[in-house]
Amino acid sequence: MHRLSRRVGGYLILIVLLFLVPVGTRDPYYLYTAYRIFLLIIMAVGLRVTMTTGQVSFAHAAFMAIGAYSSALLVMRVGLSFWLALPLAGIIAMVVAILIGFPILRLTGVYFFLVTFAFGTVVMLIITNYWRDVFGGTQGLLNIPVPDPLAIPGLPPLEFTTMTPFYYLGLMVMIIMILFAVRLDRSRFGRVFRAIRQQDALAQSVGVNLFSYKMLGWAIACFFAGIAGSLFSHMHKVITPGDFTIQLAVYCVVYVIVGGEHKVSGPILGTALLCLVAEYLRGFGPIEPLAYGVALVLVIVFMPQGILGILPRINAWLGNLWPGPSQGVSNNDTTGA
Amino acid sequence: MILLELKGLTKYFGGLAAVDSLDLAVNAGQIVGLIGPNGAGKTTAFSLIAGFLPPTRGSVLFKGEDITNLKPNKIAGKGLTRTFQLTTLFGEMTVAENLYIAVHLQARPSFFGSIFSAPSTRSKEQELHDRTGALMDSMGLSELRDELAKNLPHGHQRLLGIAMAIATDPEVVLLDEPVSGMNQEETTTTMRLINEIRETGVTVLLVEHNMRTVMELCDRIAVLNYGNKIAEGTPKEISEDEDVIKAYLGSEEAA
Amino acid sequence: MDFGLFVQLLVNGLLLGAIYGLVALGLTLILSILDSINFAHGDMFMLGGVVIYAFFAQFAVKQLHLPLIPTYLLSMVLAMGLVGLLGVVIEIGIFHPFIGKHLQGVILTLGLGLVIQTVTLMGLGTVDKGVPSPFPGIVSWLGASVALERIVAGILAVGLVIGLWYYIHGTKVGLAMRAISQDREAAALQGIHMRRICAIGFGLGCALAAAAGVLMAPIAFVNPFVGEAWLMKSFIIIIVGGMGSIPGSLLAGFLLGLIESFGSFFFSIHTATVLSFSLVIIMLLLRPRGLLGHA
Repeated sequence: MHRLSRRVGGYLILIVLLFLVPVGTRDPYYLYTAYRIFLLIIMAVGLRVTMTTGQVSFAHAAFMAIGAYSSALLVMRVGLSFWLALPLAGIIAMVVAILIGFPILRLTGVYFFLVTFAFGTVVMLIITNYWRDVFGGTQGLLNIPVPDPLAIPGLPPLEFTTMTPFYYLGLMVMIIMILFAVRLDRSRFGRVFRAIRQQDALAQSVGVNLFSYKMLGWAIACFFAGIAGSLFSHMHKVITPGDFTIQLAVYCVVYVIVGGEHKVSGPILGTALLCLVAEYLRGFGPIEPLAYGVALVLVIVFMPQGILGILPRINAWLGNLWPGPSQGVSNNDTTGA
Repeated sequence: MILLELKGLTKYFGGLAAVDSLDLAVNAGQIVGLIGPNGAGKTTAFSLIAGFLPPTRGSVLFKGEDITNLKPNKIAGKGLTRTFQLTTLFGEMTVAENLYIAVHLQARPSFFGSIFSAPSTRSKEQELHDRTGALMDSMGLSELRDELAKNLPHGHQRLLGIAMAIATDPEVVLLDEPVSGMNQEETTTTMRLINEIRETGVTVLLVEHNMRTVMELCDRIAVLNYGNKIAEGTPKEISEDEDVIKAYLGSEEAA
Repeated sequence: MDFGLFVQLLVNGLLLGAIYGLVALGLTLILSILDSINFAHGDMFMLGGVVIYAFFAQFAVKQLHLPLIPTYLLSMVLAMGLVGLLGVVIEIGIFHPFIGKHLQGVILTLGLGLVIQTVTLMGLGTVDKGVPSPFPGIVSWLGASVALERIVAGILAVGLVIGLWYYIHGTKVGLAMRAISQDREAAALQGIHMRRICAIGFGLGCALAAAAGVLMAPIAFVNPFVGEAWLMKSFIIIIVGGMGSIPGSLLAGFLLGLIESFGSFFFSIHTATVLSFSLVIIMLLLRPRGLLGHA
């Protein structure tokens, strides 16, 4: 219990620090970067949910696009408030996921990720080239309104005119989504997901309906992507198909693998680290993709469990600063799909 | 009462019949053995019965109901489970966690109940906790409850596999070489456990190469060779059957 | 529709399709022998174009004024050799432990692709580079007009595929490759030198991609970013044609070439692309092993 409360304390300190960032800096660029990272974390944490059942998706960017365009259109064409459009965007992405899930979740491994690759590409091609009066073609959607002012009891209404309220919005939603993912992971559902990933035949023999669980993981993952999409739309105010490339989808997978799939904290670490590295290198021009590539190669070769795998070692080296559970990550490779 | 019936069960892989027109009737409360030289089709038969492979021809009837084309999880839900020839466990999970998954059928988890820790979910979880505890006690695995399954010694791994199969409270359990790789002592313990399982009212269908186990445990034995059933009867009848003796002497199998 | 136009679309589709088949072949080779998906494959194609640009266009032609055709062919051999060697080095140096680990192999080759792309970018810049055509001119036949360059490229592509077929079916190394692709364990137990064959397989796959890059360079252009599109095309082809099937890759290559040729004429290039990806999805759902693939 002592260990546990130290860990919870550690997380709380981290959260408080994150809340205080806009007090420390008003620079919209930093806040914008942080917001982007929050969204990518939501994406990566969501993607991990479906990867836990053994289904790796390269369509995550496309589902983000579905959420982004849905949210923008719901607000601009249908007249809904952002606060309603946000969850609806997640739901719409989830519904599309469920519909496409019926045929494609029968596939596993390579075949599954190739079909998501193809599906993601088709979705983006459709958004780019068809129904231009709805989707805006390559120009995309412009003048997306920011969220309506949020009434907070006891405080003046929060207006979304600067980056600061967006920062808090992103932070809050991200924290909620992470909590949800953690609860899921620790529940029986999370256990069954992992069981399916390890030995799906055995799981079936004790009564687990593989398809239902895979569908659940898949739907939740795409819900996360839809939410991230909506958050993106209304901050960016302009969305184009170029914001949702295959490269983004691939990067999401990379974030999860580099961070480590075993726990929810893996994709969070992976995303944060790689994004910060990318930011740092931005000033150096073309070096960025080079360094990214090298980093990817190094991580895969030397850290097969991702960052989570070497954390216990780093922690021990630092004198056990962070009292984590001793079980850690086993040596068995679980990331080869 | 006939609990499990195989009618003309056949499975072709390409041109080869792994199982050929197999007829078998298993009565409730029995321990029935399925023996035969390597490659005789025994494990294939298990996979056909439990729904992991679709048969080319024939049918499987469980409690009078045709379960031939049902999926394995559905069949498990109806009360028929199996173990696997090669030790198959959730290696990265502890013994307790393995069984926790196995009792999955006992209570459908509610999604929002799990996320928000609803009281009904929590009391169900507690029930399942107790049940896995009882299972571990009966199988002698309680001390190892927090060990990762992949770190268990071989004999205990096989026991865990059996525990998983009976965790679902089945009426029929298919045990695929339960004592393979075990020493004398472990074999005796496991044999006793299988008898105890039968005492609780579970019908057992057993594939084994260990002749002592088969002869001592089974009420009836069916012998397969090249996918065909060549003999069926009591252990005494089988041990005296000419065709059986020929089949075994004719292959590299040493009993 | 005008017959000449039909022939033109048909011929162009098939010629381009042959080159598509060639790239895809490299990918499917790597998939069969190393059970891995090479996400750097498009960049290998790109490198082929780069070698041609640097050696053929800039050096041999511009500076030394050597005759076009022999130099071009020589450059092709050079490109295949260099890129093939790169492939071998990558396999031996980094990739070998990840054989069969699909997801990690993807990320690893992705990282390598990024490195290759960026290094090329630093050397070449972003502007499209042109390569002079060693076979200029137009051939008219049955009312159709087809560039000679394309005809030669298509024929060379088919020639390379046939050459590969004979290599796979006629040499000891090829036999070893076929053994590995059918049953890895059995092949290893038979004493086949896994490391050597896998390295050769990877190198060969990359060399084929580079060859396609060489053939496309005079037809299109060279820049560091073409890899991604060609990677996607290769995926489409190996899925539709059958992963691990040589005739399947060629057949699906032709199919893709025809879809693009006729599709972009009657509808638009985008619709053609949507059609081809939809074909992929349908294939994966109904017949995952592809048209000619093994189960």
